[in-house]
Amino acid sequence: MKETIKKLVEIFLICHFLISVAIGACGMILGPDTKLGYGDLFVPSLMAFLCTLPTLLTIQPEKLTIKQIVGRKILQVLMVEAIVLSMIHFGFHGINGIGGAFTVAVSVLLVFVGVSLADWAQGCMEAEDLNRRLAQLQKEE
Amino acid sequence: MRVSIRNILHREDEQVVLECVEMTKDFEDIREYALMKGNILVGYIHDTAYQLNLSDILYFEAVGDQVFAYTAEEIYSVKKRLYELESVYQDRKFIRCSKSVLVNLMQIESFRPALDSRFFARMKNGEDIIVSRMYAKELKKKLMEG
Repeated sequence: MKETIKKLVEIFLICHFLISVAIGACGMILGPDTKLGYGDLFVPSLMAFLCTLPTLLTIQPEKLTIKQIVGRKILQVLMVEAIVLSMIHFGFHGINGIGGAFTVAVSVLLVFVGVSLADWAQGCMEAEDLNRRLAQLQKEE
Repeated sequence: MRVSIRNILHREDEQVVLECVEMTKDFEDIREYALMKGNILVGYIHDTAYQLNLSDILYFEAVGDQVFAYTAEEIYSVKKRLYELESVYQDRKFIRCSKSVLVNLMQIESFRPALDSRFFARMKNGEDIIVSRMYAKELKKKLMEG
């Protein structure tokens, strides 16, 4: 439990830092004269909190079957979709109709699937390497 | 307690002999220690002690305060902590693959990726063990060292 909380706080702080830097950098480039209110200071914290939520689904017990892992991945992508869409809609009023929401949702899904596939491919290569070394070790013994 | 050491000629005749009036806790500890230094480990099913051959053990798992040794046929309780087993058996091809599991490399059949940057280790009895991200690096290192 202690480890889990530590990990969540760590992720929250990293997200907070990166979001603050991103807002600062983008603001300096895109709207250097824009004035912010006190309420805007809470935006990085709120966004970092929302970004930390999907991590709750990645904190896993030791033993999970492939089905459970896939189930968690689906929940994770649904949560990411909901967060991204609500952030764009409520935060920036940037979604125009169902078409816009669909485009964002598909983009998020594509990125998520792309990252998962890249992760899987890398895992396959590493597993192959491990198998080769394991076979060698067992042969030597 | 008196301790005597007798020199012998052949390594294969080396042994520890315990002479006691009754098997006390101290003698039991000494016996377990001596066995642990060899290729034998004492495992328990209920209160019955069994001598386990190290090479037959697939993996050790810590569940709460207890540690269990899994063989293809049985699950034995072991009166040692996981970190103690790890330090004693790390040069016998046992390696930590997650926070609660110490796996016998010689009993692993193959590795395959899980969907979340972790690996499944398929044991020779068909069981799958999770290798967590954190310990995968250590595992690679150990496999490279041989």
